[in-house]
Amino acid sequence: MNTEATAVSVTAPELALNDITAGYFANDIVLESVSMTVRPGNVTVVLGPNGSGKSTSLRVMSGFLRPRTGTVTLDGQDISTTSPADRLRLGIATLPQGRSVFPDLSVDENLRLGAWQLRNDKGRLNDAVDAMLERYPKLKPLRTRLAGSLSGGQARLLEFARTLILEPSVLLIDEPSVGLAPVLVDDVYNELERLKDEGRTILLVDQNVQAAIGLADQVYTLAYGKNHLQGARDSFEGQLDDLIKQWLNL
Amino acid sequence: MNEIVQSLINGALLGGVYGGLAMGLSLLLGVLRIVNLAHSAVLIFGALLYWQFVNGFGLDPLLMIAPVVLIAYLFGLGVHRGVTQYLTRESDSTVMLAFFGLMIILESIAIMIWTTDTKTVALGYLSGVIRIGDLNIPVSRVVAAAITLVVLVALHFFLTRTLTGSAIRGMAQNRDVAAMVGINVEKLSRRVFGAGIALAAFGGTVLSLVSSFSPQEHTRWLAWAFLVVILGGLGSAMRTLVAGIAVGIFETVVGLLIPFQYTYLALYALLAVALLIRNEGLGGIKQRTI
Repeated sequence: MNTEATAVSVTAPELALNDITAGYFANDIVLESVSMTVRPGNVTVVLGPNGSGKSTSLRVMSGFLRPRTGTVTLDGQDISTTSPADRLRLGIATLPQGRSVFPDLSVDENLRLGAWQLRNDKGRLNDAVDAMLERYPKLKPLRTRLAGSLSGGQARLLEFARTLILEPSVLLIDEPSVGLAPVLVDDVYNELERLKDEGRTILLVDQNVQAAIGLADQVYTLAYGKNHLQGARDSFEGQLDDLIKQWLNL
Repeated sequence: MNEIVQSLINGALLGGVYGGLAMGLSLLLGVLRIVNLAHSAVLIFGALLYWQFVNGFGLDPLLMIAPVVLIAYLFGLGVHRGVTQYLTRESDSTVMLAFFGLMIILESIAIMIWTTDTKTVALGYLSGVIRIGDLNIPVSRVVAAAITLVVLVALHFFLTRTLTGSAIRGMAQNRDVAAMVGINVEKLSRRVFGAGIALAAFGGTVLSLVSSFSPQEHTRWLAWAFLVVILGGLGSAMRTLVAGIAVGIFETVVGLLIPFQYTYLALYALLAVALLIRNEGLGGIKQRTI
């Protein structure tokens, strides 16, 4: 682990869901009494079958869905009613599932919008964009291209760059390999490995169980919207096949 | 020959104004997905307010455009806060019904205040004619088209060259992701809505410089605005301007070729054809967002 990575993990806060019940419609409960903690400098992975509430728990953490009961806390401070924009200001950034670039904007415009919160400080905004182009040099020659014309892999790089541009302290990543060609999936997990090596605090929701477990420090599984299992990665290694069979009802 | 050149000039100037009266509709449809059926009612309300300032209070016709636009912007912010923000998750038909209701309210208030009489703005120093050879070009048309050109070009540069413009276009493309990057989409939506209403009122002021108007005839301008938006697509202020000019020239040239009473029929036929074969706009790309 390098010096920069240590700095990231030491300053990162702890994000937690505490006894969360949430749903999208009045008579529909997707999460029921779900609790989980994203520890500083750790990769926390949430696994479960389709419809188990993985992405919903991420939406509650990012502020796009308000819990009906329970609290979301950041270093013990209740942020349950804090807007997504304010959570970003607190250092919580989200990389959503599927394509999330602005297709009719250029790569440069996409990056600049990622740094929207620096809009009143053009110097810092330009520095942040330059830093991301240094981190992802493949994006440099594409700056003027419309994001909608990028390949799947290029678009994913842009999404990573846009999510990291504000140097967030906590990253919420939802199904990062969904919709990508198999040849590009490895690139995505290599990038996640790089983020882990930098000591970043990450919550990863994923259906790619083997790859996700390989990255995890801490694992939570959900079933039918409730907490199922939880523990350190090592404690899951012998159970993976059984778990997958159970989720697939085999 | 002179008659054709005169018609082309008149049409181009009139068309510039048409671009102005359609831009607000295009902005709200492109960014907020709102079919603002009250667009023409706001437009006529803006024209009547302008008429009140210029004819009623004797104020300067050029200086009174900005106050009308500002009043409309503030009105738009109020409508967004009171009505529109609650419609974001509603079906399109509910939204259209709400704006149909707003149209009826505005039309009724306009008739109560100003009656149904046809109004003509006293152009004052804008009432002259520029003579070039045998060509006669009304100053008011030149001024109305020039102001519209300036406003639409400024809007184009704002949307394409500034970070806020990128944010508006980004919000149009993916509202959730816009919120994820920290854009306050509610606040920005309110301002865009205010701008859409302000542009509708602006359309009313420039229209009143080139045409008389009545509170009850506003739906005709709604059809004109839709025609321009359909032809130009929702892509840009520039395409809206070009589409407006095309409609203006079409209207005046058709007026030369067939009896006046059939001109509207030809324009509505153009609207039908545009809907049938070019529902993606003249831009030639499928672009629902601005």
